[in-house]
Amino acid sequence: MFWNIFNIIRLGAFISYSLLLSVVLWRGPRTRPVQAFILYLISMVIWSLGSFLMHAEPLFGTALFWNKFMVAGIAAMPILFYSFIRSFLGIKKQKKWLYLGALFYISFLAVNIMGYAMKEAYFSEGVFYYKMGIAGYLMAPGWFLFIGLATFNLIQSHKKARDSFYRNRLKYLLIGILVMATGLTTNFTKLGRHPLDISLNTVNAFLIAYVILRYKLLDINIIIRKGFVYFTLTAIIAGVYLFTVFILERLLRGVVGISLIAVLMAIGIALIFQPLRDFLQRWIDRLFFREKFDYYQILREFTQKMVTILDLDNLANSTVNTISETMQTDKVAILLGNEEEFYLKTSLGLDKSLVPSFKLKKDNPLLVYMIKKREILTRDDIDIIPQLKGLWESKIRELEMLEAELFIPLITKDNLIGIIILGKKLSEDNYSEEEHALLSTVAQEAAVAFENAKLYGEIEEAKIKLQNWGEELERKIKEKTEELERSQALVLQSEKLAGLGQLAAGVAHEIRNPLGIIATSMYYLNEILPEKRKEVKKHFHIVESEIDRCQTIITNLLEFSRTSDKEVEPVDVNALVNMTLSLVEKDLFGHDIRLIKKMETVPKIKANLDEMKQVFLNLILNATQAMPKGGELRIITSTHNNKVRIKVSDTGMGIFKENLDKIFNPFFTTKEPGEGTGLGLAFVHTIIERYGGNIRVESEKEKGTTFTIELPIL
Amino acid sequence: MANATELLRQGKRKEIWQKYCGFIDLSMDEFMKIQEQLLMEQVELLSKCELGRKIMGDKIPKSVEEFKESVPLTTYDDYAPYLSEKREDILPEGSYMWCHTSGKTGQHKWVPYPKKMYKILGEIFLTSLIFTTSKKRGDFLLNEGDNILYGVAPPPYLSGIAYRALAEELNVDFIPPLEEAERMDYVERMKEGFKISLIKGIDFFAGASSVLANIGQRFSGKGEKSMISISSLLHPLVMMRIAKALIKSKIARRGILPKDIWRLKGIMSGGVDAEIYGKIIEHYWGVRPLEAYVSTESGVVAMQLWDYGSMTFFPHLNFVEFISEKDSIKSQKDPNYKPRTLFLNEVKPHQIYEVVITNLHGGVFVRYKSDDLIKIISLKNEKLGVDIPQMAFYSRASEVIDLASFARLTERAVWQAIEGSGIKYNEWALRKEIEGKYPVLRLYLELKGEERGEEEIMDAVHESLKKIDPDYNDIEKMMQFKPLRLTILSPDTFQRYMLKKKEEGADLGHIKSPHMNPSDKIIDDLLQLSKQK
Repeated sequence: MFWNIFNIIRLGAFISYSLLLSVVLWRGPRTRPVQAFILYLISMVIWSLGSFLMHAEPLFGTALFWNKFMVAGIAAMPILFYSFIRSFLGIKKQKKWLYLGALFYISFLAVNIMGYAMKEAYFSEGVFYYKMGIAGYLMAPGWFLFIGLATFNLIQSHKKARDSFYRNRLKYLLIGILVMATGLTTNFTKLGRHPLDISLNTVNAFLIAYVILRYKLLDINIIIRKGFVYFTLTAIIAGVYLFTVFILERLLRGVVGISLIAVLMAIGIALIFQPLRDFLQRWIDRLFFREKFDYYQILREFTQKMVTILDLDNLANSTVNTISETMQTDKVAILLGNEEEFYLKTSLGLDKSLVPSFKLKKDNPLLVYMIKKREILTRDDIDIIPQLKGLWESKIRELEMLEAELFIPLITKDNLIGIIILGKKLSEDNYSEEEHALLSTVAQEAAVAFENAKLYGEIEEAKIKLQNWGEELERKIKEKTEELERSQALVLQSEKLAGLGQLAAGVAHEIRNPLGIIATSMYYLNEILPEKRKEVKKHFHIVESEIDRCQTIITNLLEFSRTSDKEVEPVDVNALVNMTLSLVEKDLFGHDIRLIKKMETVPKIKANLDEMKQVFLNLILNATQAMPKGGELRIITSTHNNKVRIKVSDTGMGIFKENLDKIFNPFFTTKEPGEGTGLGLAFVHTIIERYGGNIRVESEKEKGTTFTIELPIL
Repeated sequence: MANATELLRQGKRKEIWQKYCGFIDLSMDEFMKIQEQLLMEQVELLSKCELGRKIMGDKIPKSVEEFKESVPLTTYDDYAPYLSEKREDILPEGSYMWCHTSGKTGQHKWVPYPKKMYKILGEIFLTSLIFTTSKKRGDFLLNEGDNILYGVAPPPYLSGIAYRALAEELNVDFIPPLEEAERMDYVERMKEGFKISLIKGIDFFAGASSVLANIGQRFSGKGEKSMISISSLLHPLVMMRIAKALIKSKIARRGILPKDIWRLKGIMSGGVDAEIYGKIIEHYWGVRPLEAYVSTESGVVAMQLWDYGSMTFFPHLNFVEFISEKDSIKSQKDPNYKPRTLFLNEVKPHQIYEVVITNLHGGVFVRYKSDDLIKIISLKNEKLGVDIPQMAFYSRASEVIDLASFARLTERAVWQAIEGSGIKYNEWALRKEIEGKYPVLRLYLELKGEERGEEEIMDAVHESLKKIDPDYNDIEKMMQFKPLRLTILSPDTFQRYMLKKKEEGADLGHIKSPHMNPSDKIIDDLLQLSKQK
């Protein structure tokens, strides 16, 4: 056997492939890509074994035999690799290339056995020589064709793929091809004598195995980044180390031993390693991932500032804007929870009409799950997680309106206080694991910030509420005091009127009898004295008419004081006002009075129609008499607090302030003696009170008077 | 939302398991929560439609308890006037498919499947595919482009609709291709299917277990002539497949079996025969059929897992309630009797219950008495770590033969007894008849090259039945009475019966004579056909 370092590498490759094959056979899922990968590995095992034995001057078989054996593996590899890529990508069409490959391979095997692929292979003075036959040169175009097809398919799939995990997988395979191609390229250079191709193919095989055996792969971008950092770090440290050792060794030769220098250097390196690594990481991030680096930096800085923003609206808006900018998405929203539900606090890029209407009840399975699991959910998770199968179809549609890609829980002290919702990225990529991790950190800080802002907002709200309550209390006290005063006045007035009524009724009773006697006597006198003198006749007439007047007054007094037993019925106030107005229409016209009516449709009241007619007639006639030079009579009807309100206003001479509290007193009149009895408004007051209503008067001298009546609705 | 094809392409096998099989990891509380949430959604949908208002009345239940208290139990008769006319205007959700069944009861039924129900049905059928290929939790052997030999009834029957729905979840190749298969009659489809599968192979078989058992028997020379024609063997790929199979069988030192020709990943089968033929099929095909509890009205209620043991309930297609066996019998005798129902978290192990289902996702059936009896095997599947009650199909309530209140015989028990007796038979039917004053069991049996005499055959089945059903055993022990009687039917009687029914244009469900309690008319027909020879 012939051993050298390169042959050990070949043996290593063979052992690696064999081990890999065993692992895949033992642990790999029995899927079609895995089966295709196994075939690919077998071709690589043949290749590496052939290569090793060919160079090892084996005890059995000639170098040419093992060379042919190796070539059988090499020729199969690209076809099987292409087959694996097709299977991995789920490609079913264009099978003709596979058939062509199979045909090519079978033909190639035949010509290889016949010696047209490899003509000679031998060792001479420890150097390996080989000579390819005409068919051997066909391997290169075959290799380029199938590896080219595999690369093409991978790139196409990578372009179409929307899922970041899948894209990541494809990137691994593409890098694997790059590594493999690099290895193969060395065969066209002087390096071709060394087993670089097989070594780099081994790297590719391990990459593929990692892709198909591991469920989740590390982000290849991160690996490249980290790899670059550590490569640079190692290069710098090694360079500095060697340079320093070289210089110190020169300078301190004979003073201190080289081993002491090395120990000191090692301590120095240990001390500077971490800061240097961080520095390099930042430097490389800035240099190669500038945009991403800047965005993440902005987000981290904003996260630190968040807790200082106490205004909830401001915090919510700043958060959605910053996340949108840094995560490169045009849709961000924040849901915040209250006692019963989660509501959309703010959103960016979503239909604005959603903001007030979007609500999630606290027993929504999504919220229950997020409280329990406390992890970021993706849109796909909603479809996948079994605990979410209870989500109503309508609720799923509502969630879809948010166009959410990520749901990030905001949790403080075991409570879910809100959710940050992120839409798809503008690039249509999925969020990477690195971004998930970053957003989780942001969410932890944001939860605290939102909790603080919420508490602050609640305190502020409570303060304002307290202030409002104070003002409201003050206003209500004032209102109640005024109401009480008015009620007191009304009670006084009512009591006074009731007293006066009783008195008047007593007096009327007492007077009615003697007046009856006088009237009877007058009748007899008239009968006894047949011929009367003209003067006597005149005085008789005066006495009779005064007796009539007294009787009218007595009747009115009794009417005023007695409890009504008249028939009560539903009364349409508007119709009654109109009817009353029709009685006085001429009078209004004659006095140049303009009538303004504002009558809403009001419910009926319960009263006696005649009495109510009398009420309105009294008020309207009073108003007319108050405007001898014309003016405006305004009648308004409306409904307030289950009461019908009737306002009768004039623009007449008004009532003196000192008379306002007397106008409902019986016999109070400002008219000339003989022009009024002073019982009209007293009568109005009595009727209104009888039906559970009230009457108020407001007046200003020379501007007019307004009577306001309120009567309960039927 | 990614379906199984996309998830497979992305290598997300864990997500596939979680999406389609993750329900087995639910706790009982989580299971009931899902049931409750979806029932309340269904109640809301029902409250907005005519059919729902007719069944629920004016009072809309606010909780599952209220639902149980206020909504009456229903049967197909409550729906028949609307569904027979396929009235869309009264449904809670528009139908996506109308599913047909004639059922063993003889009643022609139309059942609307809304889009969501249809989708979930497809997902659950995919779950069955996953379980059949699984050996442990999370591990399964499913690929895009797997072949399914299409041996089920085509649309508008439920199985045909379900496999259409499955095809929307996973990109599978049906053999023969779906559109052609749906147009072919059964025999033609099977012939064409096996012809294609000799070239392409079969990954899954969907259909009746008895068909697979029958094909297996044909290979071992016990059955009828092979379905494979000589001409189809001339294809190079077929020759390679047969050569490979021959080598395998020679190494195993036995005759060639279907499992040497095809390497099946799984068999999906419903019905009692899946259990009866389970072991035979495994012997011939290398895989056991996976059983599921399926009905047209409910879709899939429960399914076996990869241990091929008891079945696990699904939480999201139907809301399930249970009537105790005692109450079920009582309600069969007295239609006015209102039995009490239990929820899944209230059932007890080893008890038999009648299943009451309420379709979710806009389906029509509300507290629908299924007439299916199931047995709760246990409250958990300890072996697989599933915390959901486990069931086995017992019988259709109307098919149980009650023998003097001593024994209640099910189709499964009788079938197992006939199989266990070692009698070579083609088909059978059993019913209760009155002999003098006593009820007896009469078995109508068509033999297949059996050499034993009538008495011997009867004794063999009787002894086998005694072993299988202890209550039946007690009849002889306590009453010194042997209740089994036998009528041997001439060869091909059942085949002729099927042909006769086909000619009469009978519905697919009525072509075969029922095993249990066939009507007088059917027995008369069989006896008549038996005489014709």
